[in-house]
Amino acid sequence: MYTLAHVGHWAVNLLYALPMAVIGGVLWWTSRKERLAGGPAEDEYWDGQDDDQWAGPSDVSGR
Amino acid sequence: MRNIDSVLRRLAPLTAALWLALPAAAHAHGLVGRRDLPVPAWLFAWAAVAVLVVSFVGLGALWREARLRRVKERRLFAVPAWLEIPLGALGIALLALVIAAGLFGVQIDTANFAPTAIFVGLWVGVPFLSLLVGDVYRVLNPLRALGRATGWVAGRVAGDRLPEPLAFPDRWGRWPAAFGLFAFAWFELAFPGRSDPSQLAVVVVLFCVFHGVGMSLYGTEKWIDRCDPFGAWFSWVATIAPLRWERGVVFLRPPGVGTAQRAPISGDAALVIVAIATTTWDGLSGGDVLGTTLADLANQFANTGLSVTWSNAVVETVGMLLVTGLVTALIYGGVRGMVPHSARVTAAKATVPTAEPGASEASSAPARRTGPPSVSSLIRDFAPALVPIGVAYAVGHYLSLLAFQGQAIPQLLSNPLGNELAPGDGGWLGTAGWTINYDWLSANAIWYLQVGSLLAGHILSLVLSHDRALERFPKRRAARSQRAMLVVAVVFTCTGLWLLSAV
Repeated sequence: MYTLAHVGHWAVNLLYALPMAVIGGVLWWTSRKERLAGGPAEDEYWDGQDDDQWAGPSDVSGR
Repeated sequence: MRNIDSVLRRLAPLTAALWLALPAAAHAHGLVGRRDLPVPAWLFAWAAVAVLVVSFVGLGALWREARLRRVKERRLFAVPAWLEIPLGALGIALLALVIAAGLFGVQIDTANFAPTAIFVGLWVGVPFLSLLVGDVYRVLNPLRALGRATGWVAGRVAGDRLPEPLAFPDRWGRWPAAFGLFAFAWFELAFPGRSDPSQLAVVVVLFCVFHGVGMSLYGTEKWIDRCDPFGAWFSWVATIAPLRWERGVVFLRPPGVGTAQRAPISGDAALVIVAIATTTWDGLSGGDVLGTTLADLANQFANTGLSVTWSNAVVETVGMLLVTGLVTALIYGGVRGMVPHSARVTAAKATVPTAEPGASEASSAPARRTGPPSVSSLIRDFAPALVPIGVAYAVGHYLSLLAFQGQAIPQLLSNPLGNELAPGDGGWLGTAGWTINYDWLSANAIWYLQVGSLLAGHILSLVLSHDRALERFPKRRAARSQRAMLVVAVVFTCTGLWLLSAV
């Protein structure tokens, strides 16, 4: 009975860990091409059109 | 860097393995009765993860422009400036009461005002209040009030002879506050004399002396902003609140917008990481999860000649450091995942050196790709997105403590020293006879509030991170850059619910 209860505890912990493993695994698998290439495809690099868009968070508070 | 990356790649399965290796979780600060939930607790974790994934997809599809920093606040009403004086005096009076109760009251932690005031009122109550009505601690902060009062008196006495404060080293950022927060957590969780009111009072006095010296050297406002652990952390918590107070005016804004609009500086991420990690360790060490294991470890240390209490302190310290390292690595991994999406092409003219002396130093060069930002700069820029996670952990973890143990505060305020009172004597405020009502909030209600706060905090974190990514990275890559942060949010959500579920 002790063994069954112990295994039961393990199983419950597994249920909490499962979503992490699933989401992590899915995102890991779907990004494999980028990882193998060392980043997004070259033609996807930004052309600089929005270069003035990022002003940095410090601009709001005047720091 | 490659080594660090390879370590981080292994973190997710390691974290999952940790869940398998440990017995089922239980509450820390568990003041909750038995729950009667319609579905198993782990199913809430699954549902929460599903909501996070749907939120992530929805953000990518529908939230195409960075907008949070453009949201305008609405001016509500003015507050008399003089109100800061009585509120500051109230803070100083409470501080004096804590020190007096600790030094001269009965040395029983539940009967003395000092431990409950610090560990429940200050550490738990003030953040909850800040979350609702804004940065109340700024006006109640006894250190700031003392510093301002001392400065005012010194200015009157010395006049122009009063030297200007030293320039605060900007490179320190809020690292001093982060270290201070870790020190407080260590005191709360590991220090052997933490439940001894007199030792607590001595530590409070030393804390005040240290910060008094700092304020006198670097100026009250600067020192409090950068070095006071409570002021620094509570001010970030208050950015989530729908209200903001500034120079006697109260503004209304959508909850969470203030977090996006506040400028992060160096050390802010460390501050949030410490808040998350120490709360996590409190949950791990306080319940059934590691309780027996830690006791065994402490006994092993005790065999080497250390006292049992200090053996416990060593084990707790090592555990806190380990969990802080794990949380840091997890967040580092999440932010590191953004780097490949942040490289940009610039059409600007590059400056190239010329061989001929005296010739123009600059010449036109073809467009080139600039290097990606450093991970440390990204961690600083995305630190505000971590704040809701830290707040959600604090709310989930301490909710029951505040709901029940918080009721002891009026009782202890009437009899702060814990003296014997005659039957029917209500003490200073007439509330000494009040008792704690454990029935006003059911175990089910607490669980639903904990799940709701964890979920709301992590969704807000995803929103803030996505909005910041739209500012920081090319728009078409903003959503994809946040995939690793989704994993971070999922891990924190599952961990939080696991710790809160007394299976």
